[in-house]
This record gives sequence, C-alpha cells and structure tokens, in this order.
Amino acid sequence: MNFKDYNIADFVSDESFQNYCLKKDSASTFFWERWIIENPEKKDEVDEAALLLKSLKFNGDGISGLELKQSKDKVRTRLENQFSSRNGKIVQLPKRKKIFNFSIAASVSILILISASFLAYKNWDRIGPQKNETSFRVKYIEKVIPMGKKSIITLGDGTKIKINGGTKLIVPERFGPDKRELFLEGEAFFQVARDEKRPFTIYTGNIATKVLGTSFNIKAYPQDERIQVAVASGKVSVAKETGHQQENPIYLKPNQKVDYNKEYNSLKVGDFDVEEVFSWRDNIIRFKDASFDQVVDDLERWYGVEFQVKKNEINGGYSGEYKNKSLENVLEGVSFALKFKYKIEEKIVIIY
Amino acid sequence: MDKKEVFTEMNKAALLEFYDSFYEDLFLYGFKLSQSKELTEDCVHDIFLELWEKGKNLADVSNKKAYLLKYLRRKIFLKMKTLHSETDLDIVKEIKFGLSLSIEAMMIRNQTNHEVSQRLNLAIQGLTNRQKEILFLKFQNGLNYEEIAEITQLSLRRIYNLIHESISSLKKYFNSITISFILMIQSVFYLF
Repeated sequence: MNFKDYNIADFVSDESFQNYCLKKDSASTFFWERWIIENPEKKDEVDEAALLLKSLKFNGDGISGLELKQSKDKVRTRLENQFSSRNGKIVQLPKRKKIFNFSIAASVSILILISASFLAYKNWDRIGPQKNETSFRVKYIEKVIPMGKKSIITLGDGTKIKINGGTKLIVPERFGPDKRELFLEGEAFFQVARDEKRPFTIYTGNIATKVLGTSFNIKAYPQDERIQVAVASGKVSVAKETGHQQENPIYLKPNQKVDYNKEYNSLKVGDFDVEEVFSWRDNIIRFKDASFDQVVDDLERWYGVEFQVKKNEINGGYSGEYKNKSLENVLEGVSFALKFKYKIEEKIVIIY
Repeated sequence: MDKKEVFTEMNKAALLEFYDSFYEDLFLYGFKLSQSKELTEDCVHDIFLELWEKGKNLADVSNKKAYLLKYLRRKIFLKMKTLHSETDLDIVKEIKFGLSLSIEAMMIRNQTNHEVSQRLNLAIQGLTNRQKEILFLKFQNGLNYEEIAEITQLSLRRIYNLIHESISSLKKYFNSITISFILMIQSVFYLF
C-alpha cells in the first residue's frame, strides 16, 4: 500500500512511523522526515497521527511510584532469602560473548576452566555419556513449504508425509537405530511405516506425539492458539514436555483428537469431524462455523496471501466448502455471508 | 569459598541485576493482567526463583524483556486458573485488562484537559481487553510487533490489525480541537 493513501490509523499502526515518532531508529527518521517534506499535503494527518501516538502513555492504575519501589524491595528481599536457602544450579556459559572487558573475561574463563575440570573430575559418570551422544550428532535437513503450496515426502523408513502450506519440518538425514524423531511447525498428515523397534516421535512446541505405525494429522502453526493431533488409524500417544521430561502421555484411538492449549498449557481430548480435519489433503477448504479470524488464517496459508483488515468487528460464524476454487471465488462467498467488502491486490487482500 | 560457591554467587548477582532492571515493567504488566498486587508479586518472585533453580542464564536470551514478559503472562494465567477452581477457561478469558491514559501526568489541571482526559479514557475503556493489552505492550513497553506476537502467541498480522482497530476507534474521540489542546499541553510539558 502506498503511504499517500495512509489515513491516521494507518500511520499510527505503521512500525517505521512509530519508530520515527519515538526516535527509535535513524533509518525510519531519515525516511519519514524526507517523505513529509515531499508530501506536504499529508502534513496535517501526519501531525495528528504523531500526536495521538505520543499521547498513548498509560498510568499505573493507582499504583504510586513509592508503592512500586516498596513492592520491588519486598520481593527482592524474599528472593535473596530463597537464593541463600536453596541451591541453584551452576551458571551456564553464555553462547555469545557480549561483554568485552578483557580482564574480567580472562579471569572468568580461567575460573570456568578450573571449575569445569573440577566438575568433570567429580562428575565424570554424568558427563561421559553426554559427550558420547554429541559425537554421534545427527545431521538435520530443514524442509520449508511456503504458504499456498503443499508437498508430499517419503522418508527413508517408508513413512509418507503430506505437508500443508506455511510449514517447517526438520528431519534427520538418517534415523537412528532405536528411534525416529522429527520436528514440526505447521500442519502435516503422517502415514507412519510400522517399526516396533523404533518408535516414531514428532515434536511440536512442547508436545511430543509418539507412535509405532499409524496415520494421523498434526496442526501446530506457531501463531495458532492450539496444537491439534487427530488420529485416523492406529494408536497414538501425546505428552506434554517440560524441560526434557515427558509428562504422563494421553493415548488416542482412531477418530479421537487432542487439543493442546498453549496459553493454559492444557490438553483436551475429544472426537472430531473427519471431513473437517482431513479435507485439506484432498484440496478442499472447509469451514464449520469458523470465526472471521480463523477464515483469514486459513486463507492466508492456503493461497499464500496477506490480509489487511480495515473493518472493525466482523462477527458471526461461517460455514462453507470449496474444492479447487480460486481465492476470489472463496472470498465472494465469505464476504456475502459475513458482510464485508474486499479488494485483491496481487498478494494482498484488503477487507473493508 | 570453593569454586561452586563462586559461581553461585555470580549467578545470584546476575539474576538480581536483571530483577532490578525489569521489575517495574514486569509488575505493571502483571498488575494490569491480574488486577492483583499480591498475585503479581508472587508470580514475579516465582519466575526469578525458577530461573535460579534451573540455573538459567538470562545472558543467553537475546530479548530479555520480551522473554520475561512472556514468562510472566503464562505464569499469571496459570495461577489465575488454579485460583478459579472451576477450571473454566472462560473465567480466565473474562479477565479485564485495566488500562487508562496518564494524562494526569501532564500535571495541568484545567477544565479542558480534564475533559480530554475523560473523553480519551472513555474511548480506551471501549476497547477489548486484547486491544488494551497490545496497546500497552506497544506504546508503554516500546516492544516491536514481532516481540508482541511472541508474547501473546498471536500472528503478526493480528497484532497489526488489533493496533489498527484500536487506533481507529480512539481516533473518533480525537477531534481537531482536543488535538490542539493536547498539543498546547504537550508543548508546555516539553518546556520543563
């Protein structure tokens, strides 16, 4: 969208404009100062936007500076006591050194050297096997399917995966002798080849899905509120992971699904509508009483477009089914039902 | 003092330093989410204690503020959920995000300013809790959209849209007269 078409809300919502007003980066300042000189007819709107933006300062809702200070000291004292009475773990080395004070860095590294060898000596049993593990480090391949595309891959063990748009899959070059593991961000349908000796585990956020040989669908887009595992055949176990430990798994049978709510860290088991969950494999977009936000998310992934919503409060649920239809076709239907207008400009869809 | 103790002391000092720099931001965000001073204090306390027990080194985290705010948000929701023993998630969703503008901070108490302040606060109260929260993270904490998306687990587009919607509704309360008054007040404020 052209900046000349910007209204006040567009200006205030634009991050580079915000950075210019709040003097956060010089590139934005440079750009906007020049742009304002070149576009004097927009000056009034720019001024108003800048003013609105700068007046968005909020108060502490009845918490005074003094109260805040007292609260800070109180909690700090509590912490210090706890720190002294409980044992913390040994500090880990920062991966990137940011401080370049050489004298400190030197003395710290000597200290670390000494205590690392001290610890290694004391805990050889614990450190030994870990070291072994890293020496067998597996090489991983990253597979990214862009928005609007789908892909099918077959892994070395015969497992077939159909991958939906906007998905990242990380698979080892070769599976190990005792397990098969991969990482998923996005949505995919798995048909896992049976191998009793090597369980197949899929990691998504802090959910681990473990199977021997079955078919099931996982939907785990990072921006979604939930991760969903839905089983078509066989038996699947799903467990939350905290740190490196897995909690008690939940076992799912065919036609059962589990929803993991990221915000509340909760798992909920239920039945699901096969057509709704699996339809994407057959190139069918299906909405069942879907909110406007859900429709937008799905269409962005499906067609690889970006939505800009300029209309407030689009309410109501939408139901509909489209097979191999164009985006325009789908929007025609949705916009009629949910009462909005749209404009498609290449990869941008404007809702107004 | 043996080597282990030296490290323990170093870790303790480092964590307390982060505590000192982020407490205010954490407290204000937590208080707005929970509306409870005690609960917020407990949550901030638990976060730092957990970091301590896990031996987590914040120096490894590239964006400390966003990391801590996200951690706190989760913690508060979990704690509120356990407090509401009904475990009804809707209760948590109903929770208000308290937000009002601090025009009072401009320290000018004339009639017009009072009116502007009231009018704007009315407009703010009309926003949804989610909109208020995003506005707060953006304009109070100065986080960028990506960080806000990370904290709230929403998509970038939705963050942009939430800001855009909020500004559009606030704008209705801003007419050119009120604007010029605020401009005047602000320029007086800048003189100090």
